[in-house]
Amino acid sequence: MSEWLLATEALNKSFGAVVASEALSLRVRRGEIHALIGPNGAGKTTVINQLAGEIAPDSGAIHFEERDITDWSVDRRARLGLARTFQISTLFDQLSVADNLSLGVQPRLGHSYRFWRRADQDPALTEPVRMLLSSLELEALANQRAGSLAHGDRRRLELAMALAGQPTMLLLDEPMAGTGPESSRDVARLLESLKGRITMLLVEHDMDVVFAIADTVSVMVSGRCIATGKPDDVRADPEVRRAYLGENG
Amino acid sequence: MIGPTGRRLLVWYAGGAALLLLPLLADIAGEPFMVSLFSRILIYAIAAVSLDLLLGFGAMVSLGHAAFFGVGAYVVAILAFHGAEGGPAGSGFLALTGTNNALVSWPLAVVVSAMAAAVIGALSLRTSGVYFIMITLAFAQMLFYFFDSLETYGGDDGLSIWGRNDLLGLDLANDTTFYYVCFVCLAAFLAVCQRLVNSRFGMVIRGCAQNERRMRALGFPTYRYKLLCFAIAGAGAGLAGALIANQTEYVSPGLLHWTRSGELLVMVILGGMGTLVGPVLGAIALLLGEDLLAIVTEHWQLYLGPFLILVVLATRRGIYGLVVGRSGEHE
Repeated sequence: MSEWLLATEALNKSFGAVVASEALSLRVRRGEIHALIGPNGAGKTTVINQLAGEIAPDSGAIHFEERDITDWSVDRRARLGLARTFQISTLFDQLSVADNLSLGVQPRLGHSYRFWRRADQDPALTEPVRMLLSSLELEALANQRAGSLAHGDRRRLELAMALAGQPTMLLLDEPMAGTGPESSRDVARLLESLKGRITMLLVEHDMDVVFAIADTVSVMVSGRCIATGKPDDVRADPEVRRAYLGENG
Repeated sequence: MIGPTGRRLLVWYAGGAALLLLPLLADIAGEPFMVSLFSRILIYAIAAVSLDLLLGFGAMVSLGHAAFFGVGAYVVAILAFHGAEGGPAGSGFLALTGTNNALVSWPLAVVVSAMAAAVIGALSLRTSGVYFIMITLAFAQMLFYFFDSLETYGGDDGLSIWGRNDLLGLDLANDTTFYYVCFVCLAAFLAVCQRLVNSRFGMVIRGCAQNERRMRALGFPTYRYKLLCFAIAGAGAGLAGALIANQTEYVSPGLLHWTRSGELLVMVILGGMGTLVGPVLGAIALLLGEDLLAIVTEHWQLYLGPFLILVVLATRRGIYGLVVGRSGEHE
Protein backbone atom coordinates (compact mmCIF):
# COMPACT_ATOMS: atom_id res chain seq x y z
CA MET A 1 0.00 0.00 0.00
CA SER A 2 1.41 3.33 -1.00
CA GLU A 3 2.02 5.97 1.61
CA TRP A 4 0.06 8.47 -0.47
CA LEU A 5 -3.70 8.08 -0.58
CA LEU A 6 -4.21 10.92 -3.01
CA ALA A 7 -1.72 12.45 -5.39
CA THR A 8 -1.98 14.91 -8.23
CA GLU A 9 0.53 15.22 -11.01
CA ALA A 10 1.07 18.63 -12.55
CA LEU A 11 -2.57 19.67 -12.63
CA ASN A 12 -3.24 22.63 -14.86
CA LYS A 13 -6.50 24.47 -15.14
CA SER A 14 -7.25 27.87 -16.61
CA PHE A 15 -10.48 29.76 -17.06
CA GLY A 16 -9.70 31.99 -20.01
CA ALA A 17 -6.76 34.13 -18.95
CA VAL A 18 -7.12 33.23 -15.29
CA VAL A 19 -4.82 30.44 -14.18
CA ALA A 20 -6.54 28.51 -11.38
CA SER A 21 -4.08 25.63 -11.09
CA GLU A 22 -0.53 25.66 -12.37
CA ALA A 23 1.62 22.52 -12.33
CA LEU A 24 -0.03 21.57 -9.09
CA SER A 25 1.34 18.44 -7.45
CA LEU A 26 -0.27 17.65 -4.14
CA ARG A 27 0.47 14.55 -2.07
CA VAL A 28 -1.86 13.56 0.73
CA ARG A 29 -0.61 10.93 3.16
CA ARG A 30 -2.99 8.19 4.30
CA GLY A 31 -4.61 9.16 7.60
CA GLU A 32 -3.41 12.75 7.82
CA ILE A 33 -5.19 16.06 7.94
CA HIS A 34 -3.70 18.02 5.09
CA ALA A 35 -4.61 21.70 5.13
CA LEU A 36 -4.68 23.74 1.95
CA ILE A 37 -4.43 27.44 2.66
CA GLY A 38 -3.91 30.56 0.63
CA PRO A 39 -5.36 34.00 0.04
CA ASN A 40 -8.76 34.46 -1.60
CA GLY A 41 -8.66 33.59 -5.28
CA ALA A 42 -5.65 31.31 -4.91
CA GLY A 43 -7.62 28.47 -6.52
CA LYS A 44 -8.32 26.28 -3.50
CA THR A 45 -11.95 25.53 -4.32
CA THR A 46 -10.98 24.82 -7.92
CA VAL A 47 -8.59 22.17 -6.63
CA ILE A 48 -11.39 20.60 -4.58
CA ASN A 49 -13.68 20.65 -7.60
CA GLN A 50 -11.06 18.96 -9.75
CA LEU A 51 -10.40 16.30 -7.13
CA ALA A 52 -14.13 15.68 -6.70
CA GLY A 53 -14.58 15.49 -10.46
CA GLU A 54 -16.86 18.46 -11.05
CA ILE A 55 -14.21 20.23 -13.13
CA ALA A 56 -11.89 18.42 -15.52
CA PRO A 57 -8.25 19.59 -15.44
CA ASP A 58 -6.75 20.87 -18.69
CA SER A 59 -3.81 18.53 -18.16
CA GLY A 60 -2.28 16.42 -15.43
CA ALA A 61 -3.50 13.41 -13.52
CA ILE A 62 -5.21 12.56 -10.24
CA HIS A 63 -4.47 9.33 -8.41
CA PHE A 64 -6.58 8.03 -5.55
CA GLU A 65 -6.20 4.65 -3.88
CA GLU A 66 -3.50 3.91 -6.44
CA ARG A 67 -5.88 4.33 -9.34
CA ASP A 68 -5.91 6.98 -12.02
CA ILE A 69 -9.28 8.64 -11.49
CA THR A 70 -8.66 11.67 -13.71
CA ASP A 71 -11.50 10.74 -16.08
CA TRP A 72 -13.89 9.35 -13.49
CA SER A 73 -17.31 10.89 -12.92
CA VAL A 74 -18.20 12.61 -9.65
CA ASP A 75 -20.46 9.81 -8.45
CA ARG A 76 -17.96 7.06 -9.28
CA ARG A 77 -15.25 8.84 -7.26
CA ALA A 78 -17.66 9.19 -4.37
CA ARG A 79 -18.45 5.47 -4.47
CA LEU A 80 -14.72 4.72 -4.32
CA GLY A 81 -14.59 6.62 -1.04
CA LEU A 82 -13.71 10.20 -1.98
CA ALA A 83 -16.37 12.39 -0.34
CA ARG A 84 -16.65 16.14 -0.18
CA THR A 85 -18.41 18.98 1.56
CA PHE A 86 -19.40 22.24 -0.02
CA GLN A 87 -18.42 25.75 0.94
CA ILE A 88 -22.07 26.77 0.69
CA SER A 89 -24.24 24.16 2.37
CA THR A 90 -25.72 21.96 -0.32
CA LEU A 91 -28.59 20.11 1.31
CA PHE A 92 -32.01 18.73 0.44
CA ASP A 93 -33.94 21.61 1.93
CA GLN A 94 -37.42 20.08 1.66
CA LEU A 95 -36.40 16.84 3.35
CA SER A 96 -35.95 16.21 7.04
CA VAL A 97 -32.49 16.02 8.57
CA ALA A 98 -32.93 12.24 8.96
CA ASP A 99 -33.92 11.85 5.30
CA ASN A 100 -30.92 13.93 4.23
CA LEU A 101 -28.63 11.56 6.08
CA SER A 102 -30.54 8.54 4.84
CA LEU A 103 -29.73 9.59 1.28
CA GLY A 104 -26.11 9.91 2.32
CA VAL A 105 -26.13 6.33 3.60
CA GLN A 106 -27.82 4.78 0.55
CA PRO A 107 -24.89 4.67 -1.91
CA ARG A 108 -22.77 2.50 0.34
CA LEU A 109 -25.53 -0.15 0.43
CA GLY A 110 -25.18 -0.74 -3.29
CA HIS A 111 -27.73 0.35 -5.89
CA SER A 112 -31.01 2.03 -4.99
CA TYR A 113 -33.27 0.22 -7.43
CA ARG A 114 -35.54 -0.77 -4.57
CA PHE A 115 -39.10 0.21 -5.21
CA TRP A 116 -41.34 -1.33 -2.61
CA ARG A 117 -40.11 -1.06 0.95
CA ARG A 118 -40.49 2.25 2.72
CA ALA A 119 -37.04 3.81 3.06
CA ASP A 120 -37.88 5.33 6.44
CA GLN A 121 -38.70 1.90 7.86
CA ASP A 122 -35.65 0.12 6.51
CA PRO A 123 -33.26 -0.70 9.38
CA ALA A 124 -30.34 -0.83 6.94
CA LEU A 125 -30.88 2.92 6.58
CA THR A 126 -32.41 4.00 9.85
CA GLU A 127 -29.73 2.41 12.06
CA PRO A 128 -26.74 4.18 10.47
CA VAL A 129 -28.80 7.40 10.42
CA ARG A 130 -29.50 7.10 14.13
CA MET A 131 -25.80 6.65 14.85
CA LEU A 132 -24.86 9.63 12.70
CA LEU A 133 -27.48 11.78 14.39
CA SER A 134 -26.14 10.93 17.81
CA SER A 135 -22.45 11.28 16.95
CA LEU A 136 -23.07 14.73 15.48
CA GLU A 137 -25.56 15.74 18.15
CA LEU A 138 -28.33 16.29 15.65
CA GLU A 139 -30.92 13.97 17.28
CA ALA A 140 -33.15 16.80 18.44
CA LEU A 141 -33.37 18.09 14.87
CA ALA A 142 -33.94 14.71 13.17
CA ASN A 143 -37.45 15.54 11.96
CA GLN A 144 -36.87 19.17 11.09
CA ARG A 145 -36.70 20.21 7.47
CA ALA A 146 -33.09 20.93 6.46
CA GLY A 147 -34.23 24.24 4.98
CA SER A 148 -35.36 25.51 8.37
CA LEU A 149 -32.10 24.85 10.24
CA ALA A 150 -29.86 27.54 11.71
CA HIS A 151 -26.57 28.14 9.93
CA GLY A 152 -24.38 26.26 12.38
CA ASP A 153 -26.63 23.21 12.25
CA ARG A 154 -26.61 23.33 8.45
CA ARG A 155 -22.82 23.22 8.49
CA ARG A 156 -22.87 20.21 10.79
CA LEU A 157 -25.42 18.44 8.59
CA GLU A 158 -23.28 19.26 5.56
CA LEU A 159 -20.41 17.44 7.21
CA ALA A 160 -22.59 14.60 8.49
CA MET A 161 -23.83 13.87 4.98
CA ALA A 162 -20.29 13.49 3.70
CA LEU A 163 -19.53 11.17 6.61
CA ALA A 164 -22.67 9.10 6.01
CA GLY A 165 -21.05 7.28 3.12
CA GLN A 166 -18.15 6.15 5.33
CA PRO A 167 -15.53 7.65 3.01
CA THR A 168 -11.81 6.95 3.09
CA MET A 169 -11.09 10.56 2.33
CA LEU A 170 -12.91 13.85 2.87
CA LEU A 171 -12.45 16.99 0.84
CA LEU A 172 -13.53 19.76 3.18
CA ASP A 173 -14.24 23.11 1.57
CA GLU A 174 -14.28 25.59 4.45
CA PRO A 175 -16.33 23.49 6.87
CA MET A 176 -16.39 26.33 9.38
CA ALA A 177 -17.38 29.07 6.96
CA GLY A 178 -19.64 31.60 8.62
CA THR A 179 -20.00 29.81 11.95
CA GLY A 180 -19.28 31.40 15.31
CA PRO A 181 -16.12 30.62 17.29
CA GLU A 182 -17.95 28.10 19.43
CA SER A 183 -19.24 25.91 16.60
CA SER A 184 -15.89 26.32 14.86
CA ARG A 185 -14.31 24.69 17.87
CA ASP A 186 -16.93 21.91 17.79
CA VAL A 187 -16.17 21.17 14.15
CA ALA A 188 -12.43 21.23 14.80
CA ARG A 189 -12.85 18.79 17.65
CA LEU A 190 -14.96 16.53 15.44
CA LEU A 191 -12.37 16.56 12.66
CA GLU A 192 -9.64 15.75 15.13
CA SER A 193 -11.64 12.82 16.45
CA LEU A 194 -11.83 11.45 12.90
CA LYS A 195 -8.10 11.81 12.37
CA GLY A 196 -6.42 8.54 11.49
CA ARG A 197 -9.64 6.91 10.36
CA ILE A 198 -10.43 9.35 7.58
CA THR A 199 -7.88 11.20 5.52
CA MET A 200 -8.77 14.86 5.07
CA LEU A 201 -7.88 17.65 2.72
CA LEU A 202 -8.99 20.78 4.52
CA VAL A 203 -9.48 24.17 2.93
CA GLU A 204 -9.95 26.65 5.73
CA HIS A 205 -9.38 30.31 6.49
CA ASP A 206 -9.30 30.00 10.26
CA MET A 207 -5.52 29.80 10.84
CA ASP A 208 -5.85 28.93 14.52
CA VAL A 209 -7.78 25.81 13.57
CA VAL A 210 -5.49 24.92 10.69
CA PHE A 211 -2.30 25.11 12.72
CA ALA A 212 -3.92 23.30 15.63
CA ILE A 213 -5.16 20.21 13.83
CA ALA A 214 -3.28 19.85 10.52
CA ASP A 215 -0.41 17.39 10.08
CA THR A 216 0.69 18.94 6.84
CA VAL A 217 0.05 22.37 5.39
CA SER A 218 0.26 23.34 1.73
CA VAL A 219 0.17 26.99 0.73
CA MET A 220 -1.31 28.08 -2.59
CA VAL A 221 -0.84 31.44 -4.25
CA SER A 222 -2.32 32.20 -7.69
CA GLY A 223 -2.76 28.55 -8.62
CA ARG A 224 0.71 27.46 -7.56
CA CYS A 225 1.72 25.55 -4.47
CA ILE A 226 4.57 27.56 -2.95
CA ALA A 227 5.23 25.47 0.15
CA THR A 228 4.35 22.15 1.72
CA GLY A 229 5.42 20.79 5.06
CA LYS A 230 4.80 20.51 8.76
CA PRO A 231 2.80 23.44 10.18
CA ASP A 232 5.77 24.93 12.04
CA ASP A 233 8.07 24.72 9.02
CA VAL A 234 5.47 26.33 6.80
CA ARG A 235 4.85 29.06 9.33
CA ALA A 236 8.57 29.83 9.36
CA ASP A 237 8.97 29.76 5.59
CA PRO A 238 9.98 33.26 4.47
CA GLU A 239 8.23 33.04 1.12
CA VAL A 240 4.98 32.03 2.80
CA ARG A 241 5.30 34.87 5.29
CA ARG A 242 5.81 37.33 2.49
CA ALA A 243 3.10 35.99 0.19
CA TYR A 244 0.40 35.19 2.61
CA LEU A 245 0.71 35.23 6.35
CA GLY A 246 2.47 38.57 6.43
CA GLU A 247 -0.32 40.27 4.53
CA ASN A 248 -2.86 39.25 7.10
CA GLY A 249 -0.63 40.26 10.01
CA MET B 1 -61.12 20.79 13.86
CA ILE B 2 -59.30 17.98 12.08
CA GLY B 3 -55.52 18.08 11.76
CA PRO B 4 -53.66 17.82 8.44
CA THR B 5 -53.11 14.08 8.81
CA GLY B 6 -56.79 13.56 9.50
CA ARG B 7 -57.77 15.69 6.54
CA ARG B 8 -55.31 13.84 4.34
CA LEU B 9 -56.90 10.51 5.27
CA LEU B 10 -60.33 12.06 4.79
CA VAL B 11 -59.44 13.04 1.22
CA TRP B 12 -58.29 9.48 0.50
CA TYR B 13 -61.25 7.70 2.08
CA ALA B 14 -64.07 10.11 1.26
CA GLY B 15 -62.78 10.56 -2.27
CA GLY B 16 -62.33 6.84 -2.73
CA ALA B 17 -65.80 6.08 -1.38
CA ALA B 18 -67.44 8.73 -3.57
CA LEU B 19 -65.74 7.37 -6.68
CA LEU B 20 -66.61 3.81 -5.69
CA LEU B 21 -70.28 4.68 -5.34
CA LEU B 22 -70.40 7.00 -8.33
CA PRO B 23 -72.34 4.72 -10.73
CA LEU B 24 -74.96 4.25 -8.01
CA LEU B 25 -75.17 8.00 -7.35
CA ALA B 26 -75.40 8.74 -11.06
CA ASP B 27 -78.24 6.27 -11.33
CA ILE B 28 -80.10 7.84 -8.42
CA ALA B 29 -79.56 11.33 -9.83
CA GLY B 30 -80.83 10.12 -13.20
CA GLU B 31 -77.61 11.21 -14.93
CA PRO B 32 -76.23 7.96 -16.39
CA PHE B 33 -73.84 9.86 -18.69
CA MET B 34 -71.87 10.80 -15.57
CA VAL B 35 -70.51 7.25 -15.47
CA SER B 36 -68.85 7.61 -18.82
CA LEU B 37 -67.63 11.12 -18.01
CA PHE B 38 -66.05 9.86 -14.81
CA SER B 39 -64.45 6.91 -16.60
CA ARG B 40 -62.72 9.50 -18.73
CA ILE B 41 -61.77 11.47 -15.62
CA LEU B 42 -60.25 8.41 -13.92
CA ILE B 43 -58.26 7.60 -17.05
CA TYR B 44 -56.86 11.12 -17.24
CA ALA B 45 -56.16 10.93 -13.52
CA ILE B 46 -53.86 7.94 -14.16
CA ALA B 47 -52.00 9.92 -16.80
CA ALA B 48 -51.79 12.97 -14.53
CA VAL B 49 -50.46 10.93 -11.59
CA SER B 50 -47.81 9.42 -13.85
CA LEU B 51 -46.81 12.92 -15.00
CA ASP B 52 -46.58 14.02 -11.37
CA LEU B 53 -43.90 11.37 -10.78
CA LEU B 54 -41.81 13.46 -13.15
CA LEU B 55 -43.05 16.94 -12.35
CA GLY B 56 -43.78 16.87 -8.64
CA PHE B 57 -41.35 14.27 -7.39
CA GLY B 58 -38.57 14.44 -9.96
CA ALA B 59 -38.74 18.13 -10.95
CA MET B 60 -38.56 17.06 -14.59
CA VAL B 61 -40.91 19.39 -16.43
CA SER B 62 -41.96 17.31 -19.40
CA LEU B 63 -44.13 19.01 -22.01
CA GLY B 64 -44.47 15.81 -24.02
CA HIS B 65 -46.18 13.40 -21.70
CA ALA B 66 -49.22 12.96 -23.94
CA ALA B 67 -46.94 11.20 -26.44
CA PHE B 68 -46.80 8.12 -24.21
CA PHE B 69 -50.54 8.38 -23.56
CA GLY B 70 -51.09 8.35 -27.33
CA VAL B 71 -48.61 5.54 -27.98
CA GLY B 72 -50.45 3.34 -25.46
CA ALA B 73 -53.78 4.12 -27.13
CA TYR B 74 -52.43 3.41 -30.61
CA VAL B 75 -50.96 0.06 -29.52
CA VAL B 76 -54.40 -1.08 -28.39
CA ALA B 77 -56.13 0.32 -31.47
CA ILE B 78 -53.64 -1.12 -33.97
CA LEU B 79 -53.81 -4.56 -32.37
CA ALA B 80 -57.62 -4.41 -32.42
CA PHE B 81 -57.53 -3.24 -36.06
CA HIS B 82 -55.47 -6.26 -37.14
CA GLY B 83 -57.58 -8.52 -34.97
CA ALA B 84 -60.72 -7.38 -36.78
CA GLU B 85 -59.23 -7.26 -40.30
CA GLY B 86 -57.77 -10.72 -39.77
CA GLY B 87 -54.48 -9.99 -41.48
CA PRO B 88 -51.20 -9.65 -39.61
CA ALA B 89 -49.16 -6.50 -40.13
CA GLY B 90 -45.55 -6.75 -41.19
CA SER B 91 -43.94 -10.04 -42.05
CA GLY B 92 -41.48 -12.60 -40.82
CA PHE B 93 -39.97 -11.90 -37.44
CA LEU B 94 -41.80 -8.60 -37.14
CA ALA B 95 -45.20 -10.09 -37.95
CA LEU B 96 -47.82 -8.56 -35.72
CA THR B 97 -50.92 -10.59 -35.13
CA GLY B 98 -53.87 -8.56 -34.04
CA THR B 99 -55.67 -9.25 -30.83
CA ASN B 100 -58.65 -8.03 -28.95
CA ASN B 101 -57.51 -9.57 -25.69
CA ALA B 102 -56.91 -6.89 -23.06
CA LEU B 103 -54.51 -9.17 -21.18
CA VAL B 104 -52.24 -9.00 -24.22
CA SER B 105 -52.77 -5.54 -25.61
CA TRP B 106 -52.87 -3.52 -22.37
CA PRO B 107 -49.56 -4.84 -21.00
CA LEU B 108 -48.08 -4.39 -24.45
CA ALA B 109 -49.31 -0.78 -24.49
CA VAL B 110 -47.60 -0.23 -21.15
CA VAL B 111 -44.32 -1.80 -22.31
CA VAL B 112 -44.20 0.02 -25.63
CA SER B 113 -44.95 3.36 -23.95
CA ALA B 114 -42.24 2.71 -21.38
CA MET B 115 -39.77 1.91 -24.14
CA ALA B 116 -40.71 5.05 -26.06
CA ALA B 117 -40.21 7.02 -22.86
CA ALA B 118 -36.86 5.33 -22.25
CA VAL B 119 -35.59 6.37 -25.69
CA ILE B 120 -36.93 9.92 -25.51
CA GLY B 121 -35.82 10.25 -21.89
CA ALA B 122 -32.32 8.99 -22.67
CA LEU B 123 -31.83 11.92 -25.03
CA SER B 124 -33.89 14.56 -23.21
CA LEU B 125 -32.32 13.99 -19.80
CA ARG B 126 -28.96 15.11 -21.14
CA THR B 127 -30.44 18.59 -20.89
CA SER B 128 -32.22 20.35 -18.07
CA GLY B 129 -34.37 23.36 -17.31
CA VAL B 130 -36.04 25.08 -20.23
CA TYR B 131 -34.11 22.93 -22.74
CA PHE B 132 -35.65 19.83 -21.22
CA ILE B 133 -39.14 21.32 -21.63
CA MET B 134 -38.42 22.16 -25.26
CA ILE B 135 -36.83 18.84 -26.21
CA THR B 136 -39.62 16.75 -24.67
CA LEU B 137 -42.09 18.94 -26.56
CA ALA B 138 -40.15 18.40 -29.79
CA PHE B 139 -40.02 14.61 -29.42
CA ALA B 140 -43.72 14.45 -28.61
CA GLN B 141 -44.54 16.49 -31.70
CA MET B 142 -42.39 14.13 -33.77
CA LEU B 143 -44.50 11.23 -32.57
CA PHE B 144 -47.64 13.28 -33.24
CA TYR B 145 -46.64 13.78 -36.88
CA PHE B 146 -45.58 10.14 -37.14
CA PHE B 147 -49.09 8.92 -36.29
CA ASP B 148 -50.60 11.78 -38.24
CA SER B 149 -48.96 10.41 -41.40
CA LEU B 150 -49.66 6.69 -40.80
CA GLU B 151 -52.17 6.22 -43.61
CA THR B 152 -52.76 2.53 -42.83
CA TYR B 153 -54.09 3.52 -39.44
CA GLY B 154 -56.24 6.42 -40.52
CA GLY B 155 -53.64 9.18 -40.58
CA ASP B 156 -55.11 12.41 -39.28
CA ASP B 157 -58.63 10.94 -39.37
CA GLY B 158 -57.76 8.54 -36.58
CA LEU B 159 -58.73 4.93 -36.24
CA SER B 160 -62.00 3.48 -34.97
CA ILE B 161 -62.10 0.31 -32.94
CA TRP B 162 -64.96 -2.15 -33.28
CA GLY B 163 -65.96 -2.63 -29.67
CA ARG B 164 -63.93 -2.66 -26.52
CA ASN B 165 -61.29 -5.28 -25.63
CA ASP B 166 -62.06 -8.61 -23.98
CA LEU B 167 -60.98 -8.66 -20.37
CA LEU B 168 -61.49 -11.95 -18.54
CA GLY B 169 -64.98 -12.28 -19.93
CA LEU B 170 -66.13 -8.97 -18.41
CA ASP B 171 -68.65 -6.98 -20.41
CA LEU B 172 -66.58 -3.85 -21.00
CA ALA B 173 -69.24 -2.51 -23.34
CA ASN B 174 -71.27 -1.92 -20.21
CA ASP B 175 -70.29 1.56 -19.02
CA THR B 176 -70.57 0.69 -15.34
CA THR B 177 -68.34 -2.38 -15.69
CA PHE B 178 -65.84 -0.34 -17.66
CA TYR B 179 -65.95 2.39 -15.01
CA TYR B 180 -64.98 -0.12 -12.33
CA VAL B 181 -62.14 -1.42 -14.46
CA CYS B 182 -60.81 2.14 -14.67
CA PHE B 183 -61.35 2.57 -10.94
CA VAL B 184 -59.32 -0.55 -10.15
CA CYS B 185 -56.56 0.53 -12.55
CA LEU B 186 -56.32 3.96 -10.90
CA ALA B 187 -56.39 2.49 -7.38
CA ALA B 188 -53.69 -0.03 -8.26
CA PHE B 189 -51.55 2.61 -9.92
CA LEU B 190 -51.89 4.94 -6.93
CA ALA B 191 -50.92 2.10 -4.59
CA VAL B 192 -47.82 1.33 -6.66
CA CYS B 193 -46.84 5.01 -6.81
CA GLN B 194 -47.40 5.38 -3.08
CA ARG B 195 -44.85 2.61 -2.46
CA LEU B 196 -42.57 3.94 -5.13
CA VAL B 197 -42.23 7.52 -3.89
CA ASN B 198 -41.45 6.38 -0.34
CA SER B 199 -38.99 3.66 -1.34
CA ARG B 200 -35.24 4.08 -1.65
CA PHE B 201 -35.73 4.72 -5.34
CA GLY B 202 -38.34 7.37 -4.61
CA MET B 203 -36.04 9.10 -2.14
CA VAL B 204 -33.31 9.17 -4.78
CA ILE B 205 -35.70 10.77 -7.26
CA ARG B 206 -36.76 13.40 -4.72
CA GLY B 207 -33.13 14.03 -3.87
CA CYS B 208 -32.31 14.56 -7.56
CA ALA B 209 -35.18 17.03 -7.80
CA GLN B 210 -33.92 19.12 -4.92
CA ASN B 211 -30.18 19.00 -5.39
CA GLU B 212 -28.74 16.91 -8.17
CA ARG B 213 -25.20 18.20 -7.58
CA ARG B 214 -25.27 16.88 -4.04
CA MET B 215 -26.71 13.56 -5.19
CA ARG B 216 -23.73 13.05 -7.49
CA ALA B 217 -21.33 14.05 -4.75
CA LEU B 218 -22.91 11.42 -2.52
CA GLY B 219 -22.26 8.79 -5.18
CA PHE B 220 -25.54 8.47 -7.09
CA PRO B 221 -25.39 8.08 -10.88
CA THR B 222 -28.37 10.41 -11.13
CA TYR B 223 -28.95 10.11 -14.87
CA ARG B 224 -29.84 6.42 -14.66
CA TYR B 225 -32.30 6.92 -11.83
CA LYS B 226 -34.01 9.81 -13.56
CA LEU B 227 -34.21 7.83 -16.78
CA LEU B 228 -35.89 4.92 -15.04
CA CYS B 229 -38.34 7.32 -13.43
CA PHE B 230 -39.08 8.77 -16.87
CA ALA B 231 -39.76 5.28 -18.25
CA ILE B 232 -42.02 4.39 -15.31
CA ALA B 233 -44.00 7.58 -15.87
CA GLY B 234 -44.26 6.66 -19.56
CA ALA B 235 -45.59 3.24 -18.59
CA GLY B 236 -48.31 4.85 -16.46
CA ALA B 237 -49.34 7.11 -19.31
CA GLY B 238 -49.38 4.05 -21.59
CA LEU B 239 -51.86 2.31 -19.29
CA ALA B 240 -54.07 5.39 -19.37
CA GLY B 241 -53.77 5.43 -23.16
CA ALA B 242 -54.87 1.80 -23.41
CA LEU B 243 -57.94 2.66 -21.34
CA ILE B 244 -58.84 5.81 -23.27
CA ALA B 245 -58.71 3.88 -26.56
CA ASN B 246 -61.25 1.49 -25.08
CA GLN B 247 -63.38 4.21 -23.58
CA THR B 248 -63.84 6.19 -26.79
CA GLU B 249 -63.37 3.18 -29.12
CA TYR B 250 -61.40 5.56 -31.26
CA VAL B 251 -57.85 6.91 -31.40
CA SER B 252 -56.44 9.90 -33.26
CA PRO B 253 -53.18 11.85 -33.37
CA GLY B 254 -54.93 14.44 -31.21
CA LEU B 255 -54.19 12.21 -28.23
CA LEU B 256 -50.49 12.98 -28.66
CA HIS B 257 -50.82 16.68 -29.40
CA TRP B 258 -48.83 19.05 -27.22
CA THR B 259 -51.99 20.76 -26.02
CA ARG B 260 -52.92 17.43 -24.45
CA SER B 261 -49.57 17.40 -22.65
CA GLY B 262 -50.42 20.91 -21.49
CA GLU B 263 -53.77 19.75 -20.15
CA LEU B 264 -52.04 17.03 -18.15
CA LEU B 265 -49.66 19.62 -16.72
CA VAL B 266 -52.61 21.82 -15.75
CA MET B 267 -54.27 18.88 -13.98
CA VAL B 268 -51.13 18.21 -11.94
CA ILE B 269 -50.50 21.85 -11.02
CA LEU B 270 -54.16 22.59 -10.37
CA GLY B 271 -54.59 19.54 -8.15
CA GLY B 272 -51.31 19.86 -6.30
CA MET B 273 -48.00 18.62 -7.59
CA GLY B 274 -45.71 16.53 -5.45
CA THR B 275 -48.72 14.70 -4.03
CA LEU B 276 -50.43 11.60 -5.39
CA VAL B 277 -54.04 12.61 -4.71
CA GLY B 278 -53.50 16.08 -6.14
CA PRO B 279 -53.40 15.07 -9.81
CA VAL B 280 -56.58 13.03 -9.32
CA LEU B 281 -58.32 16.08 -7.86
CA GLY B 282 -56.91 18.16 -10.71
CA ALA B 283 -58.27 15.78 -13.33
CA ILE B 284 -61.70 15.84 -11.69
CA ALA B 285 -61.72 19.63 -11.37
CA LEU B 286 -60.56 20.33 -14.90
CA LEU B 287 -62.68 17.82 -16.80
CA LEU B 288 -65.78 18.25 -14.66
CA GLY B 289 -65.32 22.01 -14.76
CA GLU B 290 -65.09 21.95 -18.55
CA ASP B 291 -68.20 19.85 -18.76
CA LEU B 292 -70.33 21.85 -16.36
CA LEU B 293 -69.23 25.25 -17.65
CA ALA B 294 -69.92 24.12 -21.20
CA ILE B 295 -73.57 23.65 -20.21
CA VAL B 296 -73.78 27.21 -18.89
CA THR B 297 -71.90 29.01 -21.63
CA GLU B 298 -70.13 28.16 -24.83
CA HIS B 299 -67.36 30.56 -23.87
CA TRP B 300 -66.43 28.36 -20.89
CA GLN B 301 -62.71 28.70 -21.53
CA LEU B 302 -63.03 32.40 -20.74
CA TYR B 303 -63.98 31.49 -17.18
CA LEU B 304 -61.85 28.42 -16.67
CA GLY B 305 -58.62 30.22 -17.59
CA PRO B 306 -58.74 32.93 -14.91
CA PHE B 307 -59.91 30.34 -12.39
CA LEU B 308 -56.81 28.24 -13.06
CA ILE B 309 -54.54 31.24 -12.67
CA LEU B 310 -56.25 32.10 -9.40
CA VAL B 311 -55.81 28.62 -7.96
CA VAL B 312 -52.16 28.50 -8.93
CA LEU B 313 -51.45 31.96 -7.48
CA ALA B 314 -53.51 31.59 -4.31
CA THR B 315 -52.49 28.11 -3.20
CA ARG B 316 -49.20 26.44 -2.69
CA ARG B 317 -50.20 22.92 -3.50
CA GLY B 318 -53.25 23.45 -5.64
CA ILE B 319 -56.61 22.06 -4.58
CA TYR B 320 -54.99 19.40 -2.45
CA GLY B 321 -53.08 22.05 -0.52
CA LEU B 322 -56.33 23.97 0.00
CA VAL B 323 -58.03 20.94 1.50
CA VAL B 324 -55.18 19.56 3.55
CA GLY B 325 -53.50 22.79 4.58
CA ARG B 326 -50.01 24.15 4.46
CA SER B 327 -48.31 21.18 6.02
CA GLY B 328 -49.47 19.02 3.12
CA GLU B 329 -46.13 17.29 2.82
CA HIS B 330 -45.40 14.39 0.52
CA GLU B 331 -47.75 11.70 1.67
